[in-house]
Amino acid sequence: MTTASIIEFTESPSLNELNKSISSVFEKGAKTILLLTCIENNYEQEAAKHILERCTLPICGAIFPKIIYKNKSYSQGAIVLGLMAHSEIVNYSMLSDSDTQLKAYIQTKSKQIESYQNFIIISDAFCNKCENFTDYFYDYMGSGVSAIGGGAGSMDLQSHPVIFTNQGLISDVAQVIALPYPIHNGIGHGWEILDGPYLVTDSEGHYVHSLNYKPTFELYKEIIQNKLNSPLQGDFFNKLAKYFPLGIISLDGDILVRDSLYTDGSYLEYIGNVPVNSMVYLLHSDLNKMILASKQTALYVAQQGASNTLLLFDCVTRDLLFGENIGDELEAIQEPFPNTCLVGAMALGEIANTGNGSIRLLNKSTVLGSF
Amino acid sequence: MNTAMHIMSIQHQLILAIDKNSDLKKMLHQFLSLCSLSLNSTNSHIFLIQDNHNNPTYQFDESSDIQLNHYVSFPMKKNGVLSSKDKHLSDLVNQFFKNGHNEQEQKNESTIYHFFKIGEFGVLTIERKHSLTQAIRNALPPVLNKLANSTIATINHHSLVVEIKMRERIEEKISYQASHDFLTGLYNRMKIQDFLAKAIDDCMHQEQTGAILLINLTGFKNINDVMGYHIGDEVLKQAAIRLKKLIKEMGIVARFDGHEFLILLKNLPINNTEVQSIINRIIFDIVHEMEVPFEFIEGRFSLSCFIGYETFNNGSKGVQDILKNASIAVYEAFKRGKDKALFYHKNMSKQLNDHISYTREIKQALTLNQFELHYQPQYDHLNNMIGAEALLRWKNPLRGYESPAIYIPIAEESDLIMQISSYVLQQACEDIKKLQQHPLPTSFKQISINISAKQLAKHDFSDTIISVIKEKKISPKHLKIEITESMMMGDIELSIACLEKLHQFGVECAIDDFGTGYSSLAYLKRLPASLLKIDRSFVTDINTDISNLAIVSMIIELAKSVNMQVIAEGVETKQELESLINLGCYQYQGYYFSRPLQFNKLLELFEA
Repeated sequence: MTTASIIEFTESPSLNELNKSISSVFEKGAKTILLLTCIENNYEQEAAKHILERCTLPICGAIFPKIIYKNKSYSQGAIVLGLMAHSEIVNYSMLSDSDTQLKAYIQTKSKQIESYQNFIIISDAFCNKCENFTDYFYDYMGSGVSAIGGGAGSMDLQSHPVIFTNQGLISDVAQVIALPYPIHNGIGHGWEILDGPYLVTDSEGHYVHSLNYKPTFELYKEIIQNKLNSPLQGDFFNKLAKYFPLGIISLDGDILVRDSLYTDGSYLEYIGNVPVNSMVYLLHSDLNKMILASKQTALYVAQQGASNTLLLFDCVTRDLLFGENIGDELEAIQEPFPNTCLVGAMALGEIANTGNGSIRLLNKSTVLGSF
Repeated sequence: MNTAMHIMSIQHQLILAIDKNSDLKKMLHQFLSLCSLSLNSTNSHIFLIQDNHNNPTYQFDESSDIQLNHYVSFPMKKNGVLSSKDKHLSDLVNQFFKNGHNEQEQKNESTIYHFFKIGEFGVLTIERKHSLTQAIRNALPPVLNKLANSTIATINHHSLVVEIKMRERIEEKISYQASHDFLTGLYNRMKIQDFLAKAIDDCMHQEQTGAILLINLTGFKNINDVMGYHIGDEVLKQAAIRLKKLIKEMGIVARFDGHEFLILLKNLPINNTEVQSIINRIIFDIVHEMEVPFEFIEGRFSLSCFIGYETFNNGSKGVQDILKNASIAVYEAFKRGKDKALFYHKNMSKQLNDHISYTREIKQALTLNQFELHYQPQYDHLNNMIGAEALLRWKNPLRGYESPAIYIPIAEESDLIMQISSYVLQQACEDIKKLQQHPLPTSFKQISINISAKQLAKHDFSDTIISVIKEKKISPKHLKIEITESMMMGDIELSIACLEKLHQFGVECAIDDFGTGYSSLAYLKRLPASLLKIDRSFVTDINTDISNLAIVSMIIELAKSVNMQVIAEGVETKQELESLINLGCYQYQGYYFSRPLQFNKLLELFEA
């Protein structure tokens, strides 16, 4: 089997080590360089720019809360993936434009990669219209394409320049890497219905103002209180919300998880849109169910064909939930691929094709791709 | 999972997407995008009946073969192929549309197609991996009804918007055309008068002066005549651009009439000296701009201009007064020739009035038969009279014989020249008729008359002459017409055709004042002219003026080369005659032989 990529890994947060790894994959004949690094590396902007500008190969990738190498997640370090075939990289920067302009912009920019069918999509998790981007991108590229990816950035929920380009690190962009070979992908999460349905009676994009005609926060608190059978304090949200995401169920039974991010005591803000008039359910899970889901995802991907590279975008909240046991999930994913090194990142929102083929922004999920 | 609630939720989500946009394509795209989310479609499409301009329509001729066309899909492609180009899909949709069902499921390879009719004019196609349940399908008709109604409403709305926009565009166009000159895009005469009225008002209420500059392009007519109107139009367009660029925000530029432009200057100071200084600067720039040659592929054309201007700073002069004054000033500048621009002065009105009175007098003279034809005999070197040139004389009862140099240019400004020309033709033919009744010497060939440019430009020019000859029953050989070189600058093909017709009829043609006008030697050969008349300015002092001698010698050579005879005009001395004989010119006209004579005196010469 032809090598699709070569991998260099360092636990070091230093730019020097990153530079050495880049040089190494360059010398081994890589045609495109994909970087996955950690926010805690705290790379100095100008120094990073100097290294990126000097590199003669096309550079892509991003800075994530954590990276994944084999069966461990790391808060510092870098993975340098040298793609052995030339890949087209497109950076979409005008994501703050109106929907009509954004659509036209995406169509124009995507012309150069319209003959491709396989994509890695990395976005700055804090750019406003990430989900609109995936919708318009999918609309233009069409069904039958294969995509994996995730949101980059920091857990402090502040926007930083986190996307690697040959011109330096930039923010507010979505980056698409078009690969000239197939990506086999799978998604899983392990979340199940606990209660519902609830009708979304008022929402706007990420903001859900009311469920069943009641302020979202009020109802959400009430339901969890009932489930836990104990009264909740005002700060329950920060402690418990990660265990009780919402789910939008598709007609064919797939659950699209929506993770809550913030509340003002009335509305709840989610990572991803929640349409008005849609039915949502309260979800719950446990570590075993999540591991099982990840294992099934890996088996599904493995059944699709042999691979040289195994790229994982795992939700950062899963890492929070697993804590020091995250290795269990990663081992379960690695297991069907004894000869392939698992690499990836803990992402703020995952991107992949759902059951009907559309490219969607996912939450609390595992996205695995092999190529 | 609560299925009933889920289905209701899907129904509501889809219905909610339907009314969100007045743009049909956007609305339907939004709807299909929601189908992907709520119906889990892999691909969805809408096909509609469309008119000849590919606009969706719900009205159609039921008797004709209806074909649905692709309108919108989500996503746009399937496996890299645009759904709008998918012939197989189009065939499936049209087969369904014609089979009379409202809904149908069809499996094709690994795809399940669900077809739903939208009213009687469209089809919604949902592609899925699995069949839609009956419960969902039962929930969709209200959605499809709403989709059909909203589509019709949006089509109607769109038609209305298109109609309103079209009407607005037409109204804008009409309004634009009413106020702008179609050729140059400048304001037209009517609009500039509105601006002028407003400027007069402003000057009355504020302490300021306004001015108008009327610019007449001189030499423009030649470009139209020689190069054609299309080049003339281009020159006017370029002149308009130059003026607009020059004036910028200082004033308003308009095309006033033909090759006249008008500039309205506003907000000038109240002090006359300052106003004059500003206007002088602008005039200097305009004159300079207009004298820069106009360049085209067809050639380079030089023009100049005359400017008449008038100022106003109170309401004592109305719009028409100011325009009239500027017009008088430009006319005066043109007449004087030496000043490019003149400020209106009331004396100019008096001069113009005199001019108008004089024109009226010419008109009256025609009615009262005050014009006469005198004849200047022409001789050969053996002193035989070979012909005579008819010369117009106006016997003014108050001023005596008026010089043609005064009244002919004035008559040429109006159609009076045509009436005078008609008189000349009629009278000359009448006199020829009388001459024919006398025994004329064999050397005497004909009477020649001068033709005006306006006469020659008439399409029926040759027919008019022929008809008069026939009417007077004279021999055409006894009439010769004289044209000048400059007349050949107009529609030369028409002129040649007219002269050729006359030549065929027997009327000969001479070219008068040769050597002074526009020389188109290429055309000289094509003209059916038999005689070149050497202008008097070259004959004067030919015995001492080497330059004149050379020119006349050249004209004689030229005439020989095109097989034409020559006659020298203005021969006044024996020395001049001898020089002409030496050069080979054997026909003459001038005081040395005879002054112009009244017809009776001419007759006496034959009787003597």
